[in-house]
Amino acid sequence: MFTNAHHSRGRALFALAMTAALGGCADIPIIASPPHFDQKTIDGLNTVKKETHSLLGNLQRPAPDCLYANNTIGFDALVADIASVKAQANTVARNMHTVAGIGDLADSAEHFRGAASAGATTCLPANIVKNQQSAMDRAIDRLVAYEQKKPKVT
Amino acid sequence: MAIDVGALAQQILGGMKGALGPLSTDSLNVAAQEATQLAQSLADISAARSGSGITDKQAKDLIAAQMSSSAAALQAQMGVADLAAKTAVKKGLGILGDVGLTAMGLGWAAPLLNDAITGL
Repeated sequence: MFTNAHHSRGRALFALAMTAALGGCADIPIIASPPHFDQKTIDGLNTVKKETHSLLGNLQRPAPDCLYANNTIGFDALVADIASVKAQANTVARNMHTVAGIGDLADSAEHFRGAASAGATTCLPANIVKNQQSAMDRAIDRLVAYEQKKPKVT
Repeated sequence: MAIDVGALAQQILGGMKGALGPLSTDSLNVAAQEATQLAQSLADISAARSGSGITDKQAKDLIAAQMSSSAAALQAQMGVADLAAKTAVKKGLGILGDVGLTAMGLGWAAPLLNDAITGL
């Protein structure tokens, strides 16, 4: 059997629960806004593209220029540039698609580095290096185009 | 055996489309470009391998590098989740199967491709 005391306690608990629920949700928008445009991400992607062209251009030259041992600095710079633009993209809220896309780009560069480094005294065939350049160019171009479609912050 | 890059690209594109569902014209063009890029890369990697220009380990890394780039391009073009883009690339290459790869002169690539698909 419920007494007045029980009802009062129930109402108090209900009010407390509602306050906690509403208070906890106060900072969460009902519909999350999309990630905003970020010029620094575009600048970073363009830097990665330049670095890619420089490195993969070297790797298409005759030996010894194309040997992995003579391009470790270029690979290090490319990895660092991709990590830098990924960190920049991470500063934008709800930017998971761009961050993941740049992560895929990093994976691609890392796998390619694995292939290049496996040949200590031989270079990768130039057409295969060119394929990698083309693949990375297209991925970067698509990431830039995706960034440009995002809403600008005024 | 010469590899028919056009036929290979069509098969890869078919697998991608099956995973991505209905596509806009722009997205279909990008998917077709990626399918052609993957097919051309497989053909070039195969030629380099048979000429002893690269090892199997290098071939696997090169295939994986191309797959990751394609996933990035598809994801950015379509604004889909990373997993969806990777699934499309996996389905595109996975649809070939061991028998299909052998018929196209890429039988050697089956185990490497399976590893790369698992690792993407």
